[in-house]
Amino acid sequence: MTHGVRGSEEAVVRLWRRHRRWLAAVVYAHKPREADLEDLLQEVAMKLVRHIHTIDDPEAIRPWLRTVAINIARSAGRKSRSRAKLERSTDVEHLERVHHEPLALIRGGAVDRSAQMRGRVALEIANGLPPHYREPLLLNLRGLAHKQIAHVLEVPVTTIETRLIRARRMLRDELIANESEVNRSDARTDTTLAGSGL
Amino acid sequence: MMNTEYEDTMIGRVAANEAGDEAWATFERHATAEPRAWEHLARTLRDEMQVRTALDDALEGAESIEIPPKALGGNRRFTSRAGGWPGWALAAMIALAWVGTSALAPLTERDALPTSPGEGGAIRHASMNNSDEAYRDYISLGTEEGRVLQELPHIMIELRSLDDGTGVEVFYVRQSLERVRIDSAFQLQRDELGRDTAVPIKLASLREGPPL
Repeated sequence: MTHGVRGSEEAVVRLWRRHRRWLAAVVYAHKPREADLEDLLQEVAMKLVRHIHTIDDPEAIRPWLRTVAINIARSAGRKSRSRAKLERSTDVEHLERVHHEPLALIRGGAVDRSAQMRGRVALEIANGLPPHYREPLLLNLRGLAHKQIAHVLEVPVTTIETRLIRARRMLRDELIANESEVNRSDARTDTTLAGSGL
Repeated sequence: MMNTEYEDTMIGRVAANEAGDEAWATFERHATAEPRAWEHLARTLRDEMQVRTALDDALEGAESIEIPPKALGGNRRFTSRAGGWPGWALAAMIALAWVGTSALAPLTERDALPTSPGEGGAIRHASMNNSDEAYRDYISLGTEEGRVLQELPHIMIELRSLDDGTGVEVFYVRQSLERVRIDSAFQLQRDELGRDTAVPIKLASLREGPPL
């Protein structure tokens, strides 16, 4: 495959289009929040064009692209002047601190229980997991099978399966805790309103 | 009885679309005894769907990121033709690669191929009866165009005596000093299989030479 890619612009374009979907998940998993995903992905594309001729083994393409994507994402983090060191945490208050708008699902008042908001909260929780759980989960959500993720991360398939099971369990537990908080917040609001005579 | 961890494993496989028929059959037997397992499965699939939708929304712009055409090189026509040529021909073409004026492209209509069937498609010019005359025409026309600056002395490579004693055979290089304006250039590189490929180079990286 790589022999055909050399000197073939169309082949390089096809190669990029085949991989950019899952590469976006890798960049998203490792970039600082304020960094622009599309800018970073563009850098990954340029690296591919410049260095594709150095890759002889077709099997090495995915792991190599992943490494490039992670390096570019992390480099953006080092360059960011206003970036505070982000603790990858599932703590709700921390999640609110690092976002510029409150996560409406977890606060009282007009609570947004829509599926869309719930999905955003779930994504934030997923993106707050430790990296070795976060990345496989996002790759799986983007459509990569266990075997493909194992190839990209260069670890056994059984390792990926274990990590995904634990990632989903952590995600579920955090969502349940989140909803409990919402319900408690609702109860406090109702009590306050009742006490005011309204 | 399936423990919680095993139930998580099974449901995780379903959520990741990795569960086969046998795994489903095992889960159904378990859920018959533990109905809450269906609730667990439904919740997980709901969470999965919502977070996947949110991730797709967050990464929507990624689907439109393309490689800039300039990053792929300037002369698409050249790079598409270079692969099938012998190495020595490619090396010669590397030195003469620029947009729109390759040696195979006709310069004017009168140089276009082919001609009438009766001539077998051969090109005949009024003053061109042999290659020497053709070359002189080339120098003359090139000078008029401003492309050929000067015809340089031939460089003799080798002399061989003819077997019949009638003379010698001379191997030489014919040279001419020429100029052309380019907007793209290529460098010959050899890959790991020993094949020559043309790699575009930045014109800004080319150094200006001393004045002629």
